Amino acid sequence: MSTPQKKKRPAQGRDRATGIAAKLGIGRVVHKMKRYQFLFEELVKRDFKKKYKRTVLGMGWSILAPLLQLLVMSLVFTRLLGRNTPHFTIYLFCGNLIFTFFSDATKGGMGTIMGNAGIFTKVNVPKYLFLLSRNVQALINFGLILVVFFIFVAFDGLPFTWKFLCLLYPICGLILFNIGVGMILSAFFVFFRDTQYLYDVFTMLLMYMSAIFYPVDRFPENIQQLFMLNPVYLFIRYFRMIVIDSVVPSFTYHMLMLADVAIVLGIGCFMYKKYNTRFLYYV
Amino acid sequence: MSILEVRNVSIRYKTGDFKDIGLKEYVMRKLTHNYTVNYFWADKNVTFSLEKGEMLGIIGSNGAGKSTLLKAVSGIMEPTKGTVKRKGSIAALLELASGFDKELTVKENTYLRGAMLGYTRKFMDDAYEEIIRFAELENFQDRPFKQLSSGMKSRLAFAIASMVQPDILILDEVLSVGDGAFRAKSEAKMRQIIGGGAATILVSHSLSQVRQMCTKVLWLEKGEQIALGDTQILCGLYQQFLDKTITLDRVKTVWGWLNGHYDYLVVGGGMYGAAFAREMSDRGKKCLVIDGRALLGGDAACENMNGVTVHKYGPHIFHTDRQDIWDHVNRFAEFVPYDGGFGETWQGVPKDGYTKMVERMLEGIPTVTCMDYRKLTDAFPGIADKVVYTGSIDGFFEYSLGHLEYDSLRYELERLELENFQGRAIVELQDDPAGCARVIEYKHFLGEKSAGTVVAREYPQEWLPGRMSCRPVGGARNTKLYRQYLELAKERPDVIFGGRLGEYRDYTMAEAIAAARARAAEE
Repeated sequence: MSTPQKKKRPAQGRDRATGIAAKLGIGRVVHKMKRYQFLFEELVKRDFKKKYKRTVLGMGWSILAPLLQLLVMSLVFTRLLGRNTPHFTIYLFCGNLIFTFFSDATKGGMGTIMGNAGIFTKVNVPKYLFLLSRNVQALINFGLILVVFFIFVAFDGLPFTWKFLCLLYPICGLILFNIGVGMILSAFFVFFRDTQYLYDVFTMLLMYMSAIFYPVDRFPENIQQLFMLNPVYLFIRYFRMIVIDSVVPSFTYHMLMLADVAIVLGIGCFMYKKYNTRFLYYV
Repeated sequence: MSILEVRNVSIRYKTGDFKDIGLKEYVMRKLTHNYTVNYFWADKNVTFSLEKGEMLGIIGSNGAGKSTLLKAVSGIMEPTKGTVKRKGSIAALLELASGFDKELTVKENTYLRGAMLGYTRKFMDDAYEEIIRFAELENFQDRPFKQLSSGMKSRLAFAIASMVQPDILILDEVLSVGDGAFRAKSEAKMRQIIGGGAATILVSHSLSQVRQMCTKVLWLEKGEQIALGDTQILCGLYQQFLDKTITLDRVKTVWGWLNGHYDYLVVGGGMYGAAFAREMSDRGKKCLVIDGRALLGGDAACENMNGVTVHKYGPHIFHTDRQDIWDHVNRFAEFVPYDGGFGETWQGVPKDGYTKMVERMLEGIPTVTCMDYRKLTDAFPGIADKVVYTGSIDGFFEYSLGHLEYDSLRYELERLELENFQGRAIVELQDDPAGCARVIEYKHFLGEKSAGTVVAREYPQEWLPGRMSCRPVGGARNTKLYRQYLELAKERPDVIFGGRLGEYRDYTMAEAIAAARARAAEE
């Protein structure tokens, strides 16, 4: 834990992005990730094993649960709300896919500091490893459902275009966003156990506000604009635009997403940095 | 530079009920200005350093700040003040058995723990078999961890952790795991690691383990650094502290004394030693008096039992014809006259016992009881310019030429719920079937009024090394042997041998005091 840190000096000709990244400590994080790779892998394994322990279907649940949810939703809402929306199942699936990933990663991330108190009070390891490992698990789940999603897309007769590559942008954005929210939540959770209940209420509220099972275009224009304030909705809408409408969102739209991610991740990192040595007193 | 340097480390801990209050309570308290967080210093100004191959034992009561300090050393916590400088890799084993995941299997936990300790996967693949074998868990590899006994958990934890060759190894209550056989194995393993050049910190509640393994000791109490230094001396003091025969303040005082430098180290707080130290101190010399026993006064040591002043090693009556000696001792004690016996001008017994008398003789002179001479000089070789040794001269030379012989007596003490047993202090017996020579009823020496009484029966016994040494036997063999020891003593001009045992001479208490004062005058 105290082997002298080899600080890699950024090579002369590298672009400025590397320099900024180094300033943000990303280089250090990457270096640490390398050093803690084995631990990280073991943590991911542990999280997986613990999640699917004593379940018959094991990882199958990761796919089945959202699919069942989708089934229920489409049974309930297609008649009610989606009569005029083309590809309503895919419309629902987009919302479900993104929101499940978001809530799975953040709810799971919330307990990572508390849950690993037994480790970091005894061994000096970076605390974000626990959160990252939990996020990897959520990401793998997401990947599985994403595959199913694409199968649905194919069955629905929607064309796969080069624009699908753009989906990497919201996916990467969401990963970082989830990490950021997870950091904030897990830090809060250490100080206030109420966080869990408050967040449950909040996610429910967020779900209703993310236009998962209803179309937005029925709302007046100014209300539609308000939806843009919801970062999760931005991710969902991005998916719908690419997959259903085959439209790449505007540059501003991209920037808006980036800003959301940057803000949340920034706050998260700040909290971890600030409270890094103080978590110990609360667990 | 040292491998580990801890300088002026203070760690402030946050306490209070803030952990368990919810958000509502928090807001309420903030609003009513009722939110208080208590801070306390878990460690205050702790300083030590560690070299390769050294092993530092940290001792102290519960809540002394040991574990917190280790957390700072291992980097889990950051010191509030001060610095921790580490050179090289560090492996910390804190509260071993905890920190495992009870849902995972033994194998999974082993890998996870290995990863936490910073091992690589390849290393774990190679070492796994050995770890399991060492922990004796071959048949438990795929069992969930919660099925293991606490001993097994600790064994596994130790086995994993001891695989490395770290530069700094921290062991918190680690070696006391498992049964005797495993303990022996783990200690051997530890020695191997230390032998490999690691600097080790050991926290153990087993004092004997600390004594055996540590090269130095840090004593913490309520976060305060009481002492840092020699293992044997500090463990000895700590044992006394645990036995509640010494207070912490006294420990600090004693430790301060031991770290001083003296003109004379007086070994033995009997009549000779006390008189010598008194005289030299009065002449402005710095003296330190130590005694292996808990009570001062040598064989005249007294202890109060049932309200009776008991001479622990047989009855002692002070008698002398010399006015100066009598006046001298009367400075330190009021004597109750003793009738009959020696036919000398002054005969008596100090009113509150010899131990109190010697304590007064040594007033103002650093005096440490329960302190072994050899351990002291091992720890502080240059503590004094000269040594006054009042123990046995043959013992000083480790009996290298053989044992000098003494008369020996044995006393059987008995407390009786009687006001009076025999009406006087000493009754001599003739032809007692049990071989008892005298019966001593102590209360009559001083006319003490107490409900009970204490009686000692005196039996002559064959002297053997280790038994109570009373009068030197003398005779050709012993005289010759003593002379040979004197020859050896010539090679130690820094040591003055004095008193009954040091000079192999049958001194009365008065004679011993007179000899000591005379010897002091020669210095």
